[in-house]
Amino acid sequence: MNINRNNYEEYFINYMENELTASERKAVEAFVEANADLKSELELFESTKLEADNRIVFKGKDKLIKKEETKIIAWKWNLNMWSIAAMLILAVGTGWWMFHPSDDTNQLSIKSEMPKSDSLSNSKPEIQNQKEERILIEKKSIAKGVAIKKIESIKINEHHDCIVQEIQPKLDSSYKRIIASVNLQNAKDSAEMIIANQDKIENKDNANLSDNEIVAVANKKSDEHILASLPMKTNSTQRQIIKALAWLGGKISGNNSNDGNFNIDLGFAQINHKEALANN
Amino acid sequence: MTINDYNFCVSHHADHLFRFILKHTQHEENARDVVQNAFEILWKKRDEVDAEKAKSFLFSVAYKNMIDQFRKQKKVNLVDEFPAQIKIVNEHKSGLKEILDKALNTLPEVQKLCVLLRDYEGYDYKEIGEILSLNESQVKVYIFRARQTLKNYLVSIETVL
Repeated sequence: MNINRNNYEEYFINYMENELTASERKAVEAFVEANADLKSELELFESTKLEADNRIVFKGKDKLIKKEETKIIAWKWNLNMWSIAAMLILAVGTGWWMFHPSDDTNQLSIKSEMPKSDSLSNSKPEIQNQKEERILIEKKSIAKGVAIKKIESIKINEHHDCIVQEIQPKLDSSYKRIIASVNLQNAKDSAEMIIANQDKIENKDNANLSDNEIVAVANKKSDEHILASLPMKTNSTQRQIIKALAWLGGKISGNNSNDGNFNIDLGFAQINHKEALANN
Repeated sequence: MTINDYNFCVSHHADHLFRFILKHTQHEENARDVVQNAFEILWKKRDEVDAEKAKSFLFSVAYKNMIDQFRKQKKVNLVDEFPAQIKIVNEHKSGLKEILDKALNTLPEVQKLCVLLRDYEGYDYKEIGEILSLNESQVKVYIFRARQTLKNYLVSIETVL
């Protein structure tokens, strides 16, 4: 079908719609040349082509954009890692807080737990509490693992340091009198016997308690009469030292002959009796 | 389609889709909601949609969503109708673009959609049919009628001027 004045609209529309073949387009152009009055109409059809307003934009594309999946996975992984790290920090922090008070607190507590020399003889409950506390801590340490156990070891050593500071002056001046005069195989055991019978001992005049009385009391609880040969009176200071030795788990070992070459093993310190005597 | 394909669609098609919908809704917020909804659906179905068909998918989804909204508002009539009587009031002060915008609003919705997809996005009749769920012949007829109406509108304007 050829273009004519009855069907030109369809051709004009298809022309502006670019739906005609090359030959059809030429036919339309030739028709318009031959029918100049319809040229403006073709131009009007071509004017009906709409143009988008590029000034109108969608604001919010950034909210529609999706992040790379790998980044999302990485973020999730990091989140998990951070969660694990946070839990670990919390666990370690809690453990530290429970079993390792600050140095200042430790110092204060030790000092408060270590009575002055005049009151040491009345310190049985405190000593027992300390021992129980240490045992409890050690049990907890085992349960919590090696790391915390190490921490507790440090703590105990810090206790020792404080105790040394507290009793060292007395120990230096008095222990030789004990060590030199007793046939100790195990100072710890002997001290524990004394502590175990402390109530009875404390009921008497400590200052005037005879050696034999002490030994007698001690022997009531044990055949380990390691204090049996005490040739001298044990005063309150000496007993305090023995208590301290017991608390600290100190052991006296070595030659107990008259040359006085004994070693006092306090765990945290080794004290040689002979050298101590020489120093004195 | 990949996430990059999707993001490409956002970057390159969001504005086009927004203009297309806005032309119909004449309501910016509604148009924005329709566009967002279309991209949400595209993202959910990204594994099913081929990247090359993503734009048509967006327009199709947006169109259907828009129709649903219009139906709820009882503002749409998909039946092809002859245009309402053209009223020309002081059109001589407007440029051709503004005149065409007003002429466009006199078209039945389906004609308007076809013309916009044709002129704004350059879709062929088949693609327009796929988006609007029409066959190719229907699209051709609607566009033919729309051009006639628009041309007549311009003729009327010229007559007034």
